[in-house]
Amino acid sequence: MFEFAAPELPIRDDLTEAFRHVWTRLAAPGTWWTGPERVAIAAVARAAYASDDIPPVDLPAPAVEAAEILGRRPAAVTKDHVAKWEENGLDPYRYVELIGVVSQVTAVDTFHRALAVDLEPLPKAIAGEPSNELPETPAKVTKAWVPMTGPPMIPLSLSAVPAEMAALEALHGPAYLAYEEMEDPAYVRGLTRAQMELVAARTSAINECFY
Amino acid sequence: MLSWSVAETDQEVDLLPVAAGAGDPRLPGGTELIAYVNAVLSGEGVAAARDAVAAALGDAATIDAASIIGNFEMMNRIADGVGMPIGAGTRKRMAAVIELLSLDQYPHA
Repeated sequence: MFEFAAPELPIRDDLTEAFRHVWTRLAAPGTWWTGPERVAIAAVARAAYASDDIPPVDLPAPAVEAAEILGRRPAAVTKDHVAKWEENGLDPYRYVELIGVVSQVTAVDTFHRALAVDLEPLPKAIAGEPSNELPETPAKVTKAWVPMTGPPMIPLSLSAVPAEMAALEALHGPAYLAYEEMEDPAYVRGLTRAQMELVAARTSAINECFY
Repeated sequence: MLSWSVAETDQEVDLLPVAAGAGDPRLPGGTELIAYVNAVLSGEGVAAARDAVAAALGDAATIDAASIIGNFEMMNRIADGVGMPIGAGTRKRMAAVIELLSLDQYPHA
């Protein structure tokens, strides 16, 4: 898994390990979705991103629509969408986990696309039941569209589903910077911090994302 | 974050190419990096753009750029998916950049 067909590229070990962690979690039962459902969400998002036909999947219709829109053009998601999905049975906690799955798979896939290498095949799902784990601090809806355990901010964005919040942080560090590293404006890895932020800003501009 | 990191390290940057998607932002390899992001997100000319970054900045920089594009594809989906609000403090602090780059035209602004 994640052997990469371009060994001349110096892909960092921490990055490869982070991708393997995403795939291992993707296949396994999550907090509110089963392993097969998580892989199905990923398949819908992957197809949507590539503007391919959405594959037939065993998911509720609101989940398919949410994964499709988030996969293809996240700026198109509206508060009305989220409300409609909830009315039609997509529980907010399940929606938060869906965001986690779509976003992490998109990050891994985009890395592959950026290096012009084949996408990693989606993993074979593992049987089992979701944990139904709730956060220790109750999550509430305030100014964002989904419940969070504190004021709306990126470090709490997926906090209603602790396992997805942890997974986001585990990928965010190797793929960009850990939160403590973000405090250093002179941080240098392969790119300088300013070059990193240039890449980030252009990506967000294309996605029409204020963040 | 771009404006902040540049200011804190005594560099200069032209932000307009970030919004325009072309031009020289006045950072080393900046033109190539912007072209790389454009290529990856459009799916057109990726290998050539990747090689241009590698030629300008090296292989390790190319890996960083690829992973950061992926990371922000992730973070953009999270921010937009959860409906992350933009606070008054952020708007005030970023007022000049918001106007310069027309960020208020974004759907979630």
